[in-house]
Amino acid sequence: MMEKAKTGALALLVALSLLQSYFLAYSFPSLGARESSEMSYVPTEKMGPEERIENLLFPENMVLHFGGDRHTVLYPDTVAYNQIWEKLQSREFRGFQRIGGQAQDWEQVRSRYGGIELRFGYGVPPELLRKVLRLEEDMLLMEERIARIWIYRIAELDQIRVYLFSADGQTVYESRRADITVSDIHEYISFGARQPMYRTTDGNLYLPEQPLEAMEATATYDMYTPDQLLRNLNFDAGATKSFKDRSGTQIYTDSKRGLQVEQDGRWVRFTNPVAVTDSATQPSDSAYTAVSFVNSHGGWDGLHRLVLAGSTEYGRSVLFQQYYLSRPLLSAPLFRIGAMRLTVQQGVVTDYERSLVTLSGGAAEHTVRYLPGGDELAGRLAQYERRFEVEALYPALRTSQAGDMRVRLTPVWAVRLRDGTQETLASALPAGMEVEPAQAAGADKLPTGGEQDEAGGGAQDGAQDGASADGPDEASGVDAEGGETGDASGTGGADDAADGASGADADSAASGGANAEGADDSAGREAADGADGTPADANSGA
Amino acid sequence: MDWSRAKSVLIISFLVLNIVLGYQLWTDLRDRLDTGGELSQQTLELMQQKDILLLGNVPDKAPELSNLEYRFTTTPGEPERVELETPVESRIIFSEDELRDGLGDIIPELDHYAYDPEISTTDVFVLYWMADGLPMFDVELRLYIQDQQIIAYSQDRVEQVQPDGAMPQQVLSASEALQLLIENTLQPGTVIQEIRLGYHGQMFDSEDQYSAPSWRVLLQDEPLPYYVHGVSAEVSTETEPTSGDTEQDPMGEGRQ
Repeated sequence: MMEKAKTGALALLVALSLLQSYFLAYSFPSLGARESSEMSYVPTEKMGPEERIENLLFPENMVLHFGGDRHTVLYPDTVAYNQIWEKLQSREFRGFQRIGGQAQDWEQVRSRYGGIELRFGYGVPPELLRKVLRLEEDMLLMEERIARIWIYRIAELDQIRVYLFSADGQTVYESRRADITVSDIHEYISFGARQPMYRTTDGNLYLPEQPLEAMEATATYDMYTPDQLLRNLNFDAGATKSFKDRSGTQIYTDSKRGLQVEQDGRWVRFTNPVAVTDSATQPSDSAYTAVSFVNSHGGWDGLHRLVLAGSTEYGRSVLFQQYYLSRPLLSAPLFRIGAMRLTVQQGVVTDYERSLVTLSGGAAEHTVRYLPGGDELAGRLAQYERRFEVEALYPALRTSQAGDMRVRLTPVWAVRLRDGTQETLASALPAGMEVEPAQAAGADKLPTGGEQDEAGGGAQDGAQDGASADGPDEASGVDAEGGETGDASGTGGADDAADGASGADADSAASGGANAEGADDSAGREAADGADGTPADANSGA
Repeated sequence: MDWSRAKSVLIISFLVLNIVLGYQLWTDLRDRLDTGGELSQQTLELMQQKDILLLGNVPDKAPELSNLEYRFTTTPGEPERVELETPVESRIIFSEDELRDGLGDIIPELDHYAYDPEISTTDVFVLYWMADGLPMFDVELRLYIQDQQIIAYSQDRVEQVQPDGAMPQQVLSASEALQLLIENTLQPGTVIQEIRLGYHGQMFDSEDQYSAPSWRVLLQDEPLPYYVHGVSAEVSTETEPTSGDTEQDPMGEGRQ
């Protein structure tokens, strides 16, 4: 009896253990192993080339001061600009000290002393600036946004001063131990000596005295397809719906994220709302996030400049301004291209707008056009209805469609307003129009004209080169002595010559190259006339 | 051979084995129940650390759901406010029948909406369009209250509400959603008022919309709720309808 009960109990226990084992193995699948049947992680397709943040950070422009209230402006991706930028990147800025914004009479400094201003638009946090310039780490600067760096030479003392300006203009930091020498400054200035001369009234907006040469281009472009970007952004084809909105925009969404495609697929906007918490985002972190996001989703098309925009959006909004032929692209409503705009929140890109058009591969035709300068431009600016909101004035290229897969890029004067909008101020002068030559800002015009240090001499060498006119690209205005072709871009050299020689101010220098312009023959003859008097001056001076 | 003895030994060893297996099963089962209706010990500890308080219940249902497609017949996000000719007592909101009797003739498709007391305030009652018993958080009917009278309403109206045709997916449990929020998103000192399952999606300036099962988490002293996506567990807050028009953006495009 006992044995029977034991056998039964044993059989029961064996069966029970088998049953429990079965339940453990199959019936209670571990939680969290959620089925993601339709989720497939396709390796993302590579789109455009990648970029490093170092290549996206550079001044919006550089202003060179020659002393005697003469200035010139250098724009990114031009020869002189690149030379100076490269040199400055190897210089060290140390020993910062805060001084009041009014500690110096900046107007006087601007007009009297030779120097260089690097202007960063809305300003760049020092952490980022350190990626491209050797700024000493300093708690003092931590929370700042550096909008300008101004390096100049006090002629009387023969000393260099370096100042960093905060974006609001209220705080100024002096770098007491920067390793920039007097001859560095001379060298930088000499790089810009042949550039057209600019005038300023407020130290912010600089207007060229004469019409500015600019390139018009008609380029073919390529395009990524929205599908490429959809795949790249890992939209799951099985759970993505697409429909059209009221304005005809095609929308793709997986309910959380959305991609809106506008303008025949040329412009896209990706939105991915996240929860907003109060914790502040570091602007530099946003910039890194934005750069790496663009690297993996869409890539870069040519040169871009990083802009950390606005005051309210500062730290969240990141803009990459595209450049073409050294000019920022100003997109027209009907042909949007030229800037990528990202919003970063808590390290996540929540909004990403860009063009799918790529210009870099396309062939282009170029035509020379002129942008109005001098009084004409000043008049346009004065009449501009939002004059008092203008924060910056710069030559840009406006986009418009020019046939199938072709874009026309027309030079314009653009203004940036306080709220961040960019508008066209003035269009280029009519094509083929003859233009007064651009005046050079002049050779080394430091007030201490008697000094002959190395760099100053270098600048004068340049001036003499101009006088001797050894190439059509250089000083062809003076070359009119022997030939008759005039080339606007070279006329600066003539001015150099006149200037360096006579030491006269801008107005008298202007006579040197005044009529030396012209791509056509008649202008060339004028050039000869105008140049007649000048070589003599130049010779006597040299 | 002593069979009797051998059997005893076997019985004892199987007994031990069964106890071990049984314990294992029991803990598994307990975990499963835990994640349904209650927060795990780990989450509770974290809540204590971050001083986060949970007022409402944690729902234990986590059904299988599909995304919803639907179409607005009004402009999303900006419904027209309609004043009532004769104001109605506001207390009728608490009874469906009374509500239908009072406003059923005035507000079209009133039957489709259900009152959400948690997000309603004394000035505005909010009702959501219901889809299979779950509220669609993006489709609202608002009743405006003044002196305990309903004086006006504004209404989002939709049509063709249907599943998107894909396989229904198991949604996160409420406690999992809360755990995520507490771990990653919520600030210390937050008070969680309620968590509720419904449908929510990014809104576009278009008639067609697409929304996914989401947990809505209401916080005290925080007007905008958090949404936890039911499948991907991504967290978002309410957004204005995203329109293609970006001209008012800073750094907008140039105009001629």
